[in-house]
Amino acid sequence: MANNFLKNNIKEQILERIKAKKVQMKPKLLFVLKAAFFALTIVLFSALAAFVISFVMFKARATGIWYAPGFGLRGIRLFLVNFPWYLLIFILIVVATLELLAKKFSWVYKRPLVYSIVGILLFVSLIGFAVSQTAMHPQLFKGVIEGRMPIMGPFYGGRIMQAPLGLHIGAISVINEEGFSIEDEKGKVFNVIISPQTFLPKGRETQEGDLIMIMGEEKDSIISAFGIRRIEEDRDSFFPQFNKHRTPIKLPGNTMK
Amino acid sequence: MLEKSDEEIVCLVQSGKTDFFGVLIERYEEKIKRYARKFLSNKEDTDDIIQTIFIKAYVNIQSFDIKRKFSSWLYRIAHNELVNHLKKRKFFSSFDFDVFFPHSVRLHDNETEKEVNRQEIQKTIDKCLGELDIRYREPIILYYLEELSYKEIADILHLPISTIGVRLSRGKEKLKSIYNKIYGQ
Repeated sequence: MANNFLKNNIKEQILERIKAKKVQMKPKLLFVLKAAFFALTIVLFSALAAFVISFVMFKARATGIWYAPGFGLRGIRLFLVNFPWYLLIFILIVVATLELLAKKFSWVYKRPLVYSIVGILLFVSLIGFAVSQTAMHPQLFKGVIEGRMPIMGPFYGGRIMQAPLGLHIGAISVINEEGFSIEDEKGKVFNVIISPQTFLPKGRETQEGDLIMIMGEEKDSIISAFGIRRIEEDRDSFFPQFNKHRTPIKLPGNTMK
Repeated sequence: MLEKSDEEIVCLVQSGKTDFFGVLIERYEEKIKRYARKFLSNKEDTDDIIQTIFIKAYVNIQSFDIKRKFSSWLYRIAHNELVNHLKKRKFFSSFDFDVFFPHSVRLHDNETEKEVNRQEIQKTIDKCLGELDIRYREPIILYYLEELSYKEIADILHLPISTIGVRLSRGKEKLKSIYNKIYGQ
């Protein structure tokens, strides 16, 4: 009896509060908007993670550290020391946030955490890689260099895209018997000394005007080259600051003028 | 009304026939009360929480997708409410490696074994449940006392199905050792 009374008591109390409108159900629209906001947040966080991944790939190339591991252990060490680890940590924080957001979905929480984390990492990495293949970062970088996009300055300007200590990027200005000279983005000239141990670029012969990356110590504008890599093919995408120094190519049609 | 499913009744409540919510309370009050009592010792706390659980269910009923199971949705609300209550009392830790890695666990498919297991476990549960860690206590209550499936428990606790299996199996072992400790067997 007492149990029945209590049972009815809770039921009646709740129904009374509902009738008196002291308790009201939230409208469906609110949940639809919440779901839309939730989906948008997931899309934005995925886009942010993908953008930062592609930015890391771009920055690694634009600063020259991408090419360093080709010079053996010393190059790998330089790569590891100068890799933007803080951005990688940021990506992992975004991925962890995405995991927390995605746990709302049954197809995520019903599987072990390791699967969803690896899945999210793969997903954002693939999108990041796809973005890195587009002209987005080169265009933004170019825009900052040309002063058209000051708002992106904190990401692409200043020292952010400059080669770290021990790496030098420049266009070959003169080739002579002891070595050659390069001109950096500011027009400063450095003499490069080559030794028999220097890692030299493979493939076609290096010419004046070629953009190269040199690993080695610099003193009084003289670089003792440990390794040299030709990066001419990446000039337009990753080193637009060197385009203004490039000697214009004379086409047959131009010579007619 | 008895022949209508929970989901059909929810549909009526969603369309504005709010009196039908009483039917849902009638159907689930005892079950939710029994579930909550396994975590709470204070009767007043239990009654307050039961009320809060049903009110939250009513307030958020428009978010319920009628293609899903109402019981799992309601137990999920109850679980959240109980976890919040226990967190206030610092009885709950949230991280667990069981959730991180995949596990291979054989799900019960043999009915006789399942029944023997269930009866055996139910006796032990009543005596020793209070001593068991909450992370094992909850799946054991839902499986052996509330007789929910692994899938339903996974939906309520938002955990992988394999983790439910691991927790049930570890929970059973722990219950046995608690039982042996208490009764000296």
